[in-house]
Amino acid sequence: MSAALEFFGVSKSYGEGPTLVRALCDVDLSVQVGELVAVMGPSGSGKSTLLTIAGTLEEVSSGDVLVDGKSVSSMSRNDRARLRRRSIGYVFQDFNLLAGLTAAENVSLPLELDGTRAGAARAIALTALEDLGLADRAEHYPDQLSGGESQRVAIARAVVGDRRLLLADEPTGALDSVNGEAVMRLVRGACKRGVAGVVVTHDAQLASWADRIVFLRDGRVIDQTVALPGPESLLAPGPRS
Amino acid sequence: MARWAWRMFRREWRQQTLVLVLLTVSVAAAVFGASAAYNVAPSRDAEFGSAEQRIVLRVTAPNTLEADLTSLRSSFGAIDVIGHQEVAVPGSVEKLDLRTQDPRGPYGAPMLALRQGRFPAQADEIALTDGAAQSLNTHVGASLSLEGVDRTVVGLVENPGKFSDEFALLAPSADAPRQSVTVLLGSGSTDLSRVRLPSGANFFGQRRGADENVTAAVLVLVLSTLVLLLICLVAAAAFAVIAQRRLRQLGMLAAIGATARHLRLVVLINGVVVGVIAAVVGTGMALVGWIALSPQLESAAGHRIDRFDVPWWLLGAGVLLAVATATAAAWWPARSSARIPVTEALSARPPRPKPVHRSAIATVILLGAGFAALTAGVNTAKDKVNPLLLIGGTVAIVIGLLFVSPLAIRALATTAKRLPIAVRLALRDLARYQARSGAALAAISLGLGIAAATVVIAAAAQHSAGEGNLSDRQVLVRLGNDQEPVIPEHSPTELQQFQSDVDGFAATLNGATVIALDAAINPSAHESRQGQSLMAEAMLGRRVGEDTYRDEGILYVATPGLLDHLGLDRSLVNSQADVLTSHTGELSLIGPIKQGGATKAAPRLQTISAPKYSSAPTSFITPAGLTRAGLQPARSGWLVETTRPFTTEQLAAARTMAANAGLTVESRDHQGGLATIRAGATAAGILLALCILAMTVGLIRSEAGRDLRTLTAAGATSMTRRTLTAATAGALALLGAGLGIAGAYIALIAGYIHDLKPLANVPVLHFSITIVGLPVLAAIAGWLLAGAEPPAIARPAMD
Repeated sequence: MSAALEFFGVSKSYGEGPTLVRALCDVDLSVQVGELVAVMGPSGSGKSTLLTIAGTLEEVSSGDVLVDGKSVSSMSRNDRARLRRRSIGYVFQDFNLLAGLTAAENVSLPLELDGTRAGAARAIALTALEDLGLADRAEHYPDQLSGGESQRVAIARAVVGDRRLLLADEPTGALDSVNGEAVMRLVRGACKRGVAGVVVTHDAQLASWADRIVFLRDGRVIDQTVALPGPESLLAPGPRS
Repeated sequence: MARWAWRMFRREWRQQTLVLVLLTVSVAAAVFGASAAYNVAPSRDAEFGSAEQRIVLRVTAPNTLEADLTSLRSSFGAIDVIGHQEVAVPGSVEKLDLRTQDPRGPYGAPMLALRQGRFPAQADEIALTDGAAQSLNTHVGASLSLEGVDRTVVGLVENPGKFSDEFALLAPSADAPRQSVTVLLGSGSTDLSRVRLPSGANFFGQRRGADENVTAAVLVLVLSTLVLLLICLVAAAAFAVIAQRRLRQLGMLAAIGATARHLRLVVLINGVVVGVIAAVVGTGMALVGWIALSPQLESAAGHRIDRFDVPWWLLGAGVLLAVATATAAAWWPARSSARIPVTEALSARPPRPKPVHRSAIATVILLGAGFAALTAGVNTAKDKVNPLLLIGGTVAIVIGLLFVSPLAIRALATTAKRLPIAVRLALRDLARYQARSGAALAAISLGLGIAAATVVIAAAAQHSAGEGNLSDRQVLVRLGNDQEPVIPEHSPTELQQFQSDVDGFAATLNGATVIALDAAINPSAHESRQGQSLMAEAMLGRRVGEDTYRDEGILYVATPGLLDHLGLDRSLVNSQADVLTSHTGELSLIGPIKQGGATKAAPRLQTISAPKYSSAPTSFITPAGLTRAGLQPARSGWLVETTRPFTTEQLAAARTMAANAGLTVESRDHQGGLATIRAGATAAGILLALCILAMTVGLIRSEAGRDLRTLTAAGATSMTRRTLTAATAGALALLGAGLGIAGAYIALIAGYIHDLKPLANVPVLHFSITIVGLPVLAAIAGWLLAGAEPPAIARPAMD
């Protein structure tokens, strides 16, 4: 397996002098293609910072981040945007669907931004929505969707096209347990199709869907563990390694 | 609460800069405008001095004048007598008032001010206004001969209440002949209408009416109120955004027991603070500006301005209005934010924007009612205006525009489906936040509508001879003058000599054309004045009242040479037509003027396109028309036209030629005022629209700030973010331009419904600039100012 995401000695600080905050300190992390990693830790431990750095939304103070083997720190701003359009999918806790676009348009957004013609992008988006059981909601606007449907649309947007890395920040935080599990099943399914996934969560139950759990405290990785067999393992055909 | 609100304002004042600036500029404009209107409005002092009444008495028998004045003294007490004698300025159509007045008279002192030198004290001394000195080409210390009397110019004077009052001042002791006298009177106990003079002479009596300055200032304040109401809409949107930013804090306040009143108070106090700051700063700016700039306004106002004479009570009203506007603007967001459930407020989740439900039927009714009111209330053809219907109609159309704005935005958003993603999102966001964008669009439409209406009216005025008296390439040489439509009768030999003089002058110009002008005269309406036989010229009049006509200029005989020179195709002239004219309306022949009122006949008219200058020939009587009306042609003058504008030297040469020949010369007397008005109105409208856009586009995009974070996370570059802002600004500007011009035309068509021809002159250039230039400019500005990457993409910024 090859690494889709690698952190080498990544540190991130905010502010300076007495207001200096070290969000991440010398973090090393590697996420393989097809692997789902859960990041857990108390509030202020640096989970979201780790995710935004992995998503190239923020720059590191020191260290290096590689996405698909390419160093992010040497990329220009436009190159990073292209990387986000083509390789990285981002799922937010509060869905962050664009209210002015329909579900299908939200899903086709990264493709259209990348220059795919609207018609072709729409066709791909409809397929993605169909895979998630949302074909009949394609023309609905976000405020006409339930929370679960909205998050499924957000996941469709995050995996549409040839994405390699799925980053999810508390993706089930605004959902009930049934919808939360459904969302995690989708994330898990995406990873099985070859996407590397990183999920930030407080919920140990949901973290159990991951192949590996990384614990953060005060910006440092304090532990990494293989997850206990999660609920999905009960449905799996064979024993998990 | 108040203390906390104040501290929050101090912390976040930068985010309210645009609202502050807009309100401050509005208050400054209102205060400056009210001060200017109060002072620029003409004062009665120019005609009455400090008197309460005045009498203008024509002096027909000088020996009885003193008895009449004594009689007035016995009835009214102190009187102030000003003598007038009209004298010709050599070589010009201009006349000059030779005035005898005591500079220290009991009532007339405010009508005289010394600018240079001293007042005349002896009979052989004279003082002149600067315009008179310029016309007479003289200066202080020089000798001046007027009507055969030599005097020394001892000073420059003026009527401080009316710069256009040009005169030559003689000492009160000068025994100058007087054609008329103005007698200034106190209030007295005698009613002017009961005054009977010993000589039995008729006189024109006038009471000092109310000054118009208060009315003008109040009108400015009313207009400012309308503008502030629109700003109130925009400011409400800004306060709503600020309230949303503080949502979590408001939620925390509610969680610890704050009532809805407490929560409302926080946002309301913010509004009051903004209003007070805008009012104080705006008023201060306006007053400093007024004190600094008022001297420059004196020439435009045409009289001296006391820079410290400001309507303070009106300024107080303006300040209160600004505070009330900001408070009212904060009221709705305060009420809305206080109603958000505590849990939603704590999660900082703003409520879903509600669509604006405004009925299209209400819009149509309002626009229809406005149109009907203006149609009934304004008759430009007859110069009649019903102020109530005019104001009511205008207000209905303005409110109709406010109602139509969300509909227009929704209509534009429906076209977005096939547009690029960023433009699509921008248009859909406009529709989504239509409570904000609708208010902004209404404000932009109103600003551009006022500008468009000004441009169209200026274009219409150009059509109706408002462009000036003559082209700067024309000179009109007259046998008579421009004061009354009469021509002195001359023998054929004299006329031949005049022709020769005019031709000689034209020969000195490069490529000048001389066109002889014949007027239509009534052969039976001759008048003898000072031994000179005068012929009355027929004129064309437009009916403006029951038996009232407004003169539309002299009727010139449609000679082949004149028609050819004007480029009128003779073959297209209807043989049945009596009069060819560029004027419209209910037209009649009027004249002769000196024989007991107008004699009117309804001519057969043919409308033509002719020059739009007021003194240039615009109406022509055909030979058939002459015969039918019983008129005869008579030489009235010559039109001299060159290929280049006349120089000052050439105009001086023309006046010299005319003075030597006993003719008068008229040249262009003012320069392209209407073009300046059109350009100024367009620029002001665009500037106002850009200011509103700068504020509202920022508000709308900040409301959709979460979308920007999502877009960035999805891989959008700064290009996408710039396109979003540019499309938002461009779309609002385009809609605003379209609605503004449409609204202006609805109002103007209603006003000109009785004679739509002036509106045929569409100012294409100015509208193109507004419809194309403004959206492009707004889009470019939006493009340049947008594009910064959101600082915290994954986590929304919290307070």
